[in-house]
Amino acid sequence: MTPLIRKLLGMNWLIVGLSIGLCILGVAAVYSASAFREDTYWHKQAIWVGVGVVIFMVASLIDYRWVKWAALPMYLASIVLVILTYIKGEEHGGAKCWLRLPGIGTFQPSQLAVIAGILTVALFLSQFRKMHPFVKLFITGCIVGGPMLLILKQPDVGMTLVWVPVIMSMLLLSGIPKRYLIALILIAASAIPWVVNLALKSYQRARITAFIDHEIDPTGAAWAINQSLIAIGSGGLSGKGFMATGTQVEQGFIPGTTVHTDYIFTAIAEQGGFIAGVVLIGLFAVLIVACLMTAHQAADEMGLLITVGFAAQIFFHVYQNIGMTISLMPITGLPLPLISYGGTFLVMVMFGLGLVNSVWVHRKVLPG
Amino acid sequence: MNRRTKSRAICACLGLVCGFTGFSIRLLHLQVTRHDYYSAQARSKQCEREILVARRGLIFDRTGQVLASNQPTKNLVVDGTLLTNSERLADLLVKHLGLDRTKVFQRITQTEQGKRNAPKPYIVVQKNVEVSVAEAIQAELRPAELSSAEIKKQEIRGVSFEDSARRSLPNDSFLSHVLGYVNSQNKGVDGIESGMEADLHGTDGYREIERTRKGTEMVRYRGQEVAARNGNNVSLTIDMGLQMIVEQELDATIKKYHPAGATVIMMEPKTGRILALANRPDYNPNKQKGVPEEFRLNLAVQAQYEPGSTFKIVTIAGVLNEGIVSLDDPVQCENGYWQWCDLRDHHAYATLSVNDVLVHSSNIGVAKLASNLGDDRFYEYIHRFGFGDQTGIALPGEIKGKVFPPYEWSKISITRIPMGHEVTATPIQIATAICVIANGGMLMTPQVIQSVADENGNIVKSYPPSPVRRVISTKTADHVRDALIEVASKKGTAKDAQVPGFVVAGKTGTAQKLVGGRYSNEKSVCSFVGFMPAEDPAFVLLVLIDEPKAPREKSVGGLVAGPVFSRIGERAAAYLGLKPTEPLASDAIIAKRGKTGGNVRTP
Repeated sequence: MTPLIRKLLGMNWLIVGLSIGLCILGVAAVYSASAFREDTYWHKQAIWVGVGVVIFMVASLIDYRWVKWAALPMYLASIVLVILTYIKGEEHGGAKCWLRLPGIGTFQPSQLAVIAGILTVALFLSQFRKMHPFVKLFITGCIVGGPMLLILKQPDVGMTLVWVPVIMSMLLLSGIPKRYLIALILIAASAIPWVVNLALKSYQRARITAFIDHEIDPTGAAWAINQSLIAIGSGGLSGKGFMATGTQVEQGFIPGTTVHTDYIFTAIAEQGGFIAGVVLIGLFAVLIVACLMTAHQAADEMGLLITVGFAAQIFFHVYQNIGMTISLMPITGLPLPLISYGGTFLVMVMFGLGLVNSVWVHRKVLPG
Repeated sequence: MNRRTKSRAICACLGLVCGFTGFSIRLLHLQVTRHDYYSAQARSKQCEREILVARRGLIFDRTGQVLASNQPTKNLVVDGTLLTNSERLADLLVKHLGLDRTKVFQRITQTEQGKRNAPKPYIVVQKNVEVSVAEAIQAELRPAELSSAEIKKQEIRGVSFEDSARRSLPNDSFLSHVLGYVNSQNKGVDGIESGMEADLHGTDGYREIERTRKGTEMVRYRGQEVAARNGNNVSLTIDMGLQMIVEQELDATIKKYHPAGATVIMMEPKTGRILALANRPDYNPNKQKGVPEEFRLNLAVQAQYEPGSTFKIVTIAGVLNEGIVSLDDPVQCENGYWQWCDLRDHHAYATLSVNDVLVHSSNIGVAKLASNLGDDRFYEYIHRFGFGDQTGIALPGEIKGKVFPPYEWSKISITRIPMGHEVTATPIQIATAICVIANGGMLMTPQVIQSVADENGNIVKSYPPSPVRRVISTKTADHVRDALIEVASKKGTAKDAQVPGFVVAGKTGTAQKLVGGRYSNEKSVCSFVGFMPAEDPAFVLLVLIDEPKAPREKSVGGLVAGPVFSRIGERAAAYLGLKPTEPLASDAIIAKRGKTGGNVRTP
């Protein structure tokens, strides 16, 4: 058997199946949420899924250890791109965080920055294991602080917050003593009142207020969340049926600009009901557990940290996105991985999952 | 993986499981426990019952002229749950509708009772906005000159315009008391509008519709629809041509005498149909604001007067019908003063024939005739002529007038009631009573409605003449009529009521008004009621002037009301195309000239 075929057969089929399956589900969901519109979002999404699967396969077959050479250039490039958004960025929903790539469409450099950040931090933590934990924390902080601040200033709170669970989980598993992490969490917690009162923009504060009390501004900030709850709640146990007529989503009660992106879960839960919602959450849980299993089997710390970082990123996206639609989390514009419409993010996630798969393919048990 | 890392990985997994389990529980709560609540919310957001307003029926006169129609308008409605830019909307409403800024802002931002954050989904801000104004407001809801991003920010959402209609009377105050008016709910509250409300209103329909977020209707989901049944059209017996004559002559009279009130009723005696009816003071139903309540009174059916001498007809008809006397029998008239009951005549007469009692309007003569008839029979005739009872005219608020039964009478009542004192009657009762004489003895129900037809013109209800009872024989009626012709002749009290070319029959009435329990010398009610042409009456005409401002000796029915009858009668005869039966004054002159001319030719 050639190494290539051996690698192909040695894939983590659970991850492969789930990734592709979720992508296809996503196309169906985008179709059901936007078919009554003129734009053919599902069509573009299907093409991106094709691109994503190819990138996933390529990333799976490349040894993740080679990636360490690419980590730093990717990191620097992503910072440059984020800075570029300040100059040439396109505005969507009040945030200038998109770049237009000729022939491809719009692209969010902050998404690339997260992945590059994961790789860089994983590289750093695995290379300097003997370093004093405090110094490690400090340098990690420097690595992620730059892009985080840049993204925060765009402003894109959601993409900034993604960094937190990702880096925290990586730090947790890289052997930093608990007391350091607890201190970090306490410092962050004590900063919350200051941030809320001084740093937040008025629309951001309105979103948080609306999250706490939906009745305060039912036509403004709480509009979307109330509509999302009505749509999901009226879906019931088994839903209104795929592409059912007269759903809240179809009638445009969920803003048409976000129903196929940030509020895609609303469409799924209205049409498929509780069953579809729980199945989707379950699939994500299995995917994340499969990633963690891969982390457990990883050949080295670098592989472990990359896998955990991606798992945390996917977890946070899923948690924040679904949590927002069912009013467990405040509103932030984070897409649902693999499901939400959006080509570049889909490709990023598929690339990340491919790396995770690569960690599995190149795990210890594999001889040679 | 070392042990510590492993325990941390388990921690992370636990967190993951807990988080996702929380999601599942939340979903279970939303989609199973609270499913009914959210389903109802979804339905209420989408479904709406749109009322299809029935068009109010039209009112026509007997020639088909429109007397009351509907002018399309819009009701401005705000859905508070969708409303955006309420400040700007308030400014718009101030600009276009002249509303008070603070009040209108409160109105459009009001919330459900007790709920601070639940805006009302249905607020009628202004009813009956002119269509052109509504269009102007609509155009400014979305300022077109701005860029698309600005439009989004500035656009006022949640405002809609519902079709509505305002009642409109093209003739303004003409016939106002008959037609009446509608309230803000388009419900008739007076006149025909109220009396025929059931027919005019129709039945509102509805349509179940679904709306998208922006409030546009989704036609393909249109549900149950029950069409509105438009109101029926009502045709009146009123003839606008005659009404116009009456209104104009009445206005002229008002200018001359400035009375407290006035009523003219023109009626077709054979059928009881009202051809024209006007009161003063009146009002314009199109402009209701500030109209005093008493201006709305339809004096013809809602005011009672002592009828005065016109009431003498009842006594004369009674004694003739009973055969107690004949027209030529003499009546002792006490030389102008009947001491027993302190009763005076205007002119002293020793004896008068029954006929002349009426012609000269002798109080003493008629009192004696009534005494001959006796309390009970006299009372019966009063009743048979329709006094003391509603006539049954289809106008709301008709009163009965006061006729006391004989056991409540004093000793001299039998001498006072015959001359129209101690008794009150509405103008419509008096006119109806004269119809009895004019039509040969039948009491007819006065009618203002000729027919009711649905919107396509199919007659739904028709109102044939409805006789109440025979009051007197035709022979008696003819006798009384002959006497009444004499009243309106040169020798009678109503010579001013004559109409050139026609024989008029009628009776004047002058009743002093009771002021503080005594009959006043200044205030009187002057009336003339008559019909023409006397042989085959086309109409009965009642003219009643309440408190004319004129010297006492001129404040009598013959002088105040008689000329009004004459002028209306003349114009009405021309309008109706009646053939003159008598030589006109001018004809007589020409005839005379012809004779003298002949003499000239033969020297």
